[in-house]
This record gives sequence, C-alpha cells and structure tokens, in this order.
Amino acid sequence: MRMVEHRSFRRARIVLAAGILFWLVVEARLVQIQLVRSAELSRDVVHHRVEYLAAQRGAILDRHGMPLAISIFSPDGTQDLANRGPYGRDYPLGDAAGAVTGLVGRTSPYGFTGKEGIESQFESLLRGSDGRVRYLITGSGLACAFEPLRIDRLPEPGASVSLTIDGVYQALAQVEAEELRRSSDARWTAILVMRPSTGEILAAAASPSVDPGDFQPGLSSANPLWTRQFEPGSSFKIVVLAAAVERGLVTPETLIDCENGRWVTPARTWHDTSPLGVVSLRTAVARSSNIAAAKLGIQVGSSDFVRCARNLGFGARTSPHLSAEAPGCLHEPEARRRSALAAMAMGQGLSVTGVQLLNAFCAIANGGRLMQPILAFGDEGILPTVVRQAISPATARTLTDLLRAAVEGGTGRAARHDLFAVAGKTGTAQVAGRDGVGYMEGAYIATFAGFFPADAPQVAMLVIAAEPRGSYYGGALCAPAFKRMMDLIIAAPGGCLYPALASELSAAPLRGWVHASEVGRG
Amino acid sequence: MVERTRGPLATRPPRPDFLLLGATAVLLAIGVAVMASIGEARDAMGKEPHGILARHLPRVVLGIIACAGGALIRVETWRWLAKPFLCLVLVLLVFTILPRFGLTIDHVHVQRNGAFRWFQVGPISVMPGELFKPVFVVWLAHFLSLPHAMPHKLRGLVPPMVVGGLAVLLFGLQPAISTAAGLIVTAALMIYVAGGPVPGARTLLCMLVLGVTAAVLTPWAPRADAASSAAVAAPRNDVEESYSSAAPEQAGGIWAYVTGRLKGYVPPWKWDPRRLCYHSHQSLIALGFGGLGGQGLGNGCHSYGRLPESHTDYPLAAIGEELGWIGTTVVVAAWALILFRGIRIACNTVRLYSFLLAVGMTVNLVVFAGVNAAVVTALVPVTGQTMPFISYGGGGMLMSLFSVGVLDAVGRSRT
Repeated sequence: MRMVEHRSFRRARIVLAAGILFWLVVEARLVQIQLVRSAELSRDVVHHRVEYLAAQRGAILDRHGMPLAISIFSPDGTQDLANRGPYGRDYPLGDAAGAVTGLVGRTSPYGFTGKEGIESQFESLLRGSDGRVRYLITGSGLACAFEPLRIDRLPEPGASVSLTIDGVYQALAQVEAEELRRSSDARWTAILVMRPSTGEILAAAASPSVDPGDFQPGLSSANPLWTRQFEPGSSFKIVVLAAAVERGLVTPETLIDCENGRWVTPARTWHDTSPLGVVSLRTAVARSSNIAAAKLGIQVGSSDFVRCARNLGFGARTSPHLSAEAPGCLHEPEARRRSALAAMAMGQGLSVTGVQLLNAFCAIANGGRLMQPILAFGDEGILPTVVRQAISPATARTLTDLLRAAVEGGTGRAARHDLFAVAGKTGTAQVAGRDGVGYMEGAYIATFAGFFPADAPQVAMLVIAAEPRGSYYGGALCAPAFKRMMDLIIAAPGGCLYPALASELSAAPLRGWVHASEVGRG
Repeated sequence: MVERTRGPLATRPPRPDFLLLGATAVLLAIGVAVMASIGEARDAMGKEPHGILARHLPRVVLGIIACAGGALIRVETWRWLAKPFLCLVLVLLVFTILPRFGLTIDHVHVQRNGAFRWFQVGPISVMPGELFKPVFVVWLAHFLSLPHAMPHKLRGLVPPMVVGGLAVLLFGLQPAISTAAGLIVTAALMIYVAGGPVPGARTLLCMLVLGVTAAVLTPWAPRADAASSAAVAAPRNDVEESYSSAAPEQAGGIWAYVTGRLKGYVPPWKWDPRRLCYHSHQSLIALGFGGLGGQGLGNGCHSYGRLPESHTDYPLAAIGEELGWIGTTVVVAAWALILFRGIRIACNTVRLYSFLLAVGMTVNLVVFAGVNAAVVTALVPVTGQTMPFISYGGGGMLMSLFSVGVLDAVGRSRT
C-alpha cells in the first residue's frame, strides 16, 4: 500500500492556494459587477411589471333590484391604476342602509374587502376576481414598445347579492328612527320590519347609523337589531301568555286578581303602573299588568315557561345569515325561586335581541309557525324556512286577540289605526347595569312590537327606543312611531306590500272597524 | 488506563466535518430558494407545467441519501468498483452520442439546445456526463495509488490519458466542451499532486491533443434545420432559439462552435458589457441589478425569459439579482470553504488512495463550480456548465452530494 509522500501534501496546498486565488478573482469580479458598476448595468434592465386590474365588485340590491351598494367607475382612480383601482364603492341610501349592507375597507392595494355585514358575509361572491397584465419596462422605468402588453387574465366582475330589504321601507324606517331618536333624545333607536308569513326582513333601520360610503376607520355598522341584547320588559309577556293558553290554563275571559297594583310575596313586592282589581285576562294584558304576568308565570312553572320561550326562538341565534348576531340570554330559573320565574314572565332577568322579539310576534301572526328570518335571497330565490310550529294555531289566534286588545283599549292605544285592527304589545324595561349587576338609574328601553292587519297579518314591526330622556314608556314613545310607520307603509306606492295591503283594505274596508268594535266591547 | 480524547490515538469515534457539510447545506438551501423563485417565473410563463421546485426538492432529498451512502460506505469499496463502473459509464457515453452518427433511437435520445447530453429512460432522463465525473475520479485515485503506478513518467500515464482522451472525445462530440475541460483540469491536478510532472505540461497536452483532434476529425451529421447565427447578439424576442442555435452542426463543426462562442466574449479587463454575447450581457445585468442587497427573493425579473436556462446554467445570476452581492458572496465563500476543508481532509490522510480520492473529489466539485461562476461573471466565454448543489438537475445533484459523502468518509477514516 502506498503512503502519501510529503511532496504530495505540499502540492495539495499549492492547489488549495490556487483555488482560493481563483475564488478571490471571482469575488473581485462580483464586486466590480454588483457594487461598482451596478447602477450602469441596471439601466439596461428589461423586466416585467405585473399590474392588477381591479374587478368590479358586485352590487347589493334590494328586493326590487334597487342598488343599496354598487361599484361605479371613478375616473380619478385611473391615474394610479395599480394602487387604487378604478372603482369606487357607492351607497345610494347613505347611512339609511349602512346597518344592513355593512362596510368595505381598502385592505388590498387595488380593491375593496368586505369588513362587516352583507359586504363581508358575501365577500367571496361580491369580490369577483382581479385581472392581471404584465408588460416589460426598462431599468429607467419606460415601458418597452417592442413587446406587447400581456394580459394574463381579464377581471371578472363579482356577482350581485339581492336582499329581502325593501329600499323604500328601509329609507322610511330610517327617517322614522332618526326622528324618534331626535324627539325622545334616546341613546339609540331602531325599527325592524318583517313579513310574518316568510320571515323576510323588509327593513332594519337603526339610529345612529354610519354611512358606509364615508368610511372612517373605527366606525362600526353593526346592526343593533341583532347585535344588541336587552331586557325586553312587557313585550315579552307574550311568552307567558302563550305558555298558559297553550296548556289551557286560561282563556281571555279568565278572571285574575291583580291585587290593586301591589302584591306582596315573601321574596319581593310587585307593582303595577296602573292598579287593577279582579279583571279578565284580556284587560290585564291590555293594561300590561305585571302582577297578572307574574301569577301566570308561577302557574305555568319554570320548565314549561322556558320551553315555550325557546320554542318561540328566544335564547338562541335566529338565523345563520345575520352577521354578528347575538344569541340573547335565557336561563331556566331554579324551581323554588318563584320570584325569579315571575320576573322572567314579565320580561326581566333575561335578554333578547330585536329580531328575536319580532320573530316571536311573527310566529303569532303566522298561525304559530316560527320562521327563520331571511335577509338575503338564495340562489334559487327566496326560501322561507319553517323552524318549528312554536305554538298551536288556536293559541296564536287567542294571543292575537289579546294583543289586539292591548292596542284597542290598552297601553298601545297610540298604535290604533282607522282602517284595520292592529295587534301589538308595549314594553318598558330598565337597562341592565354595564357591570352586569342591578339596573342603571333612570335608563329605560321602550319597545313596541306588533303586526297588522291583525286578522290577516302582512307586516310585523318593532320599534325600539333605548335610554330616552323624559317619557320612557313604550306606549308613549314607540306606539306613535309604530303608527306613523304604518301610515307610511300603507301609503308607500313603491313598497313591496302595497298590492297586498291595498287589496286587503279595498276588499273589506269595514271589517277592521267591526273587529275593532268587538274587541273594544270585550 | 487513560482514555485519550485527542491526538492520533483518540478512541472517540471521529466526527463528521461539520464545516464541509454546513457549507454544502448553505449552498443547497440557497439553491432551493432560487429554484422556488425561478420555478414560479417559469410556471407563470407556462414553460414548466409541473414546477421546477416540485422536482428539485425530491432530488435534493435523494442527493442527501446518496451523501449518507457515500459517507457510510468504506472508501475501499469504491476502489474495487472503479473499473467496472468506468467501463459502464463509457458505454453509456458512447450510447448518448449515437445520434451524431445517425443512430437515433426515438424517445430515448433527446436533443436539447443542440446537444446530445441526455438520454431518456421512461420518465427519467440520464446524463452520463454527470455519472462519469466521480467515477473517473475514483478510478484515477485507484490507478495512481497502485503499487506499480508511475505518475512521474509518461509511460505510467498512458492509461489515464487514453481514458481521459476518450472521455474528452465523447464529451466533445455531445458537445460539452466545458465538461471536457473541467475533466482535463481535474485529472491534471490529481496527477500533479500524486507526484506527476508540473501540471499543464505533458499530461494536459496529451489529453487535449488526443481529444480535440479526434473531435475535429469526426464528421458531423448534416442537419436540415441549419440557422445562420451563433449565440452572438441575438434579437431579444427569440431568446430561446438563439440559445439553441449555438448547436455546432449548424455552422459547420466544432471550430465554428468555439469561435462562435469566442466572438461574443470580451476579456474581463475590458469593461464593455454591451459587446458581450446576449447571455453574458443579461447575466451581468441581472447581477448588477441586484446590487448590494438584491431585489428580494422572488422579485428577480431575469427569470422571466431574459436569462434562458437560468435554472441550470445561471442560478448564480438569479441569486445575484434576488439576494445581491451578499448572496453571491455567501456562495463564493461556501465554495472556498468546501475547497479548504476538502484539501484539509486530504492532508490528514496517510494512504495515497485516500489522499487522491479526497483531492480528486474536492477539485472535481470546485472546478465545475468555478467554471460556472466564471461563465456567469463573464470571466470566460459562455459554456453550459451547472453549479453543483445549486443548479437544477438530478444527476449532478446526486453525484455532487455523493462526492461530499465520500469526502466525509475519507475525513473520518483518517487513513
């Protein structure tokens, strides 16, 4: 076996030295090319520049095809095509529909991205796909003339989304909500209009609202009608009534002792705003007696009561299509804590969202069938979904009768209408403390929920005024607003319910009168 | 008994050469990064429908396995396999250039860029030139360390000169001039360190004369698709064609091929990039555009058709454009480190076979990397040479990493 001679090691080191020298030459050359002559060489660079062509974002349309949000060509954007995109986002109704459409933000450099509401929920549909072009530019920034612009793909506009919203009603409801907030000096107001037979949301206006076209960072367009939860107060009494009537415990004529407005129980003393003696259930409901509701609640029992509430859609999100919907809060009270049950029967100690409350009223108007609220049309048009038969049709009729009494001769008198019977219920509740303990001093939330015409319901409507100053009763604040909205809806010729309501009114103009007088006598 | 941990009698098992392996790993990582970038560009141009990176990564993995194999198998084993392997690879080389004599087998012989360097076996394309390099080094190390070897006498160098001359002839016929040249340099340096005559003298001359005269005398098969120009000052919009038009048969033999390449060459001491041939010019532009810190990974624009074959022949230019002078300097430093560690391993050996094997493997890697770097920086005329560890290509990757494994095995055997 041959061993390495010393000469070989020496020669290997010479090879190493030569190799290192070679790499030093390469390195020196790299210094020359990349550092010394870099600027000179960069002038000869010819390279592709990629630019994106913004796709036109799909429109959000109301049920008639009127745009609530639309992307329009804005010529000032063409100056800087790569960074701004040639399209602007316009909201024709301004702040009136902001709580429904939601907002977009310029998150990508060449387009919009939905941030809230429908804009974000249907982002993938609305967005479309951006186009892409490439062209050559030289190092001095000039486009090369000898190679044509290559279009990789053309922009594909996004699809439109049709909402169940009726733009006319939405605009009217917004005006009315603004007016109500101005006149009552409330912290916020909201008006929700639904169609009981299908669960379509026709208008969902809120004040204060943001104009999504005038985007300011930090603003939120969240719709309080399904993102805020509050104690409903008396309007929640429909639940205890439904439970009691469903079980056959009471009829509208059943007599109830309302204890002359003061009922002392070991746990708590109950008060009524207007003291009543022994009256029929109809009268007790019409005058919104808390004591009657408390007694009914205790009679029904907590498990039946909570089951009925859950059947009517409380305590859970109503629809997967409402963005950021709150679930409300509904816990079954302990069986022995009857005062807690009694409080819940009159709408305290639980929280609901506006859409939950009105959807329960819709179920009553709809023969007891609870529908899923719909805000956007599906691909195959509108798809009304029955959630469940919440109460029997007979119970629904009885409740309609009771609610009609509340409007005809009770707390909701201000919502009476000359042409037809209205069914509705006022509600006044204290606002729960921000820290979750007790109630805020002097802070109330007034509601009025109802539907009309009572015998063939076409529209259900909810009016909320939160934390007003001065008068804070639902009957005094919200019922008049309800009445004004009714007048506007009947008169609105562009509205979706106009034909149905017109035929209703022309077919039996006197029927409403007849019914109203009957109820009044009862 | 005192256990010694250092010195020649150390009982601790020898550790792998982490600096050598680390430098290799750095080059591999840079290669993967730049392949991702180039692959994306070629993908966007619709050139490689399946993406370069997707095929590069498995080759890296296979190469690492080959490296482990080379490191774990005793170096003596290769000694006995050298001769049969050499014969096999020579046969493969002859098979590769059969089309030059009009014997094309469809779907097996592929012409790329006017050269016959590959043949296709099903989905795998084999490049015998890559196989030949390490096999030749092993065989030469074996031959020169035989007891009766006489590297200092011309008589003792006849077999290497015959084998080398034959290889140079075969490479010249492909044509792959730079591979032939690199092989000559490797062989010359191995003979030199084995105690032979001063490099460049007789060995080099003999191999050159043998190879080149044979290549010149061989008649070229006539081709119908003869184009006029060589790779000089090609119009920009048919870059790909200009690259393939470097094929020698179009302009009449090897001399036209060589002179065509030389026409577009400006020696480095004259700074005039615009007079360089298209490839060298674009390569310098890419490097210069990168500047100190580069345009950022994936932002290079020369991969978009400006630099043809950037994934095989010009990855260093892409690195220079995207990672800048810093990136290319890391590559240069890694190569210098590989050279240094390889020679160090050689100098720690005792037996001539191990010594020659280490020197040969090191030189074989570094010479071809050096040729590639010199081409990219326009120090030498354009020639299609890949950079080991970085360039795209399965055979090269496999054999280069195998060479590193063998180097490491030599280093750990300490004999």
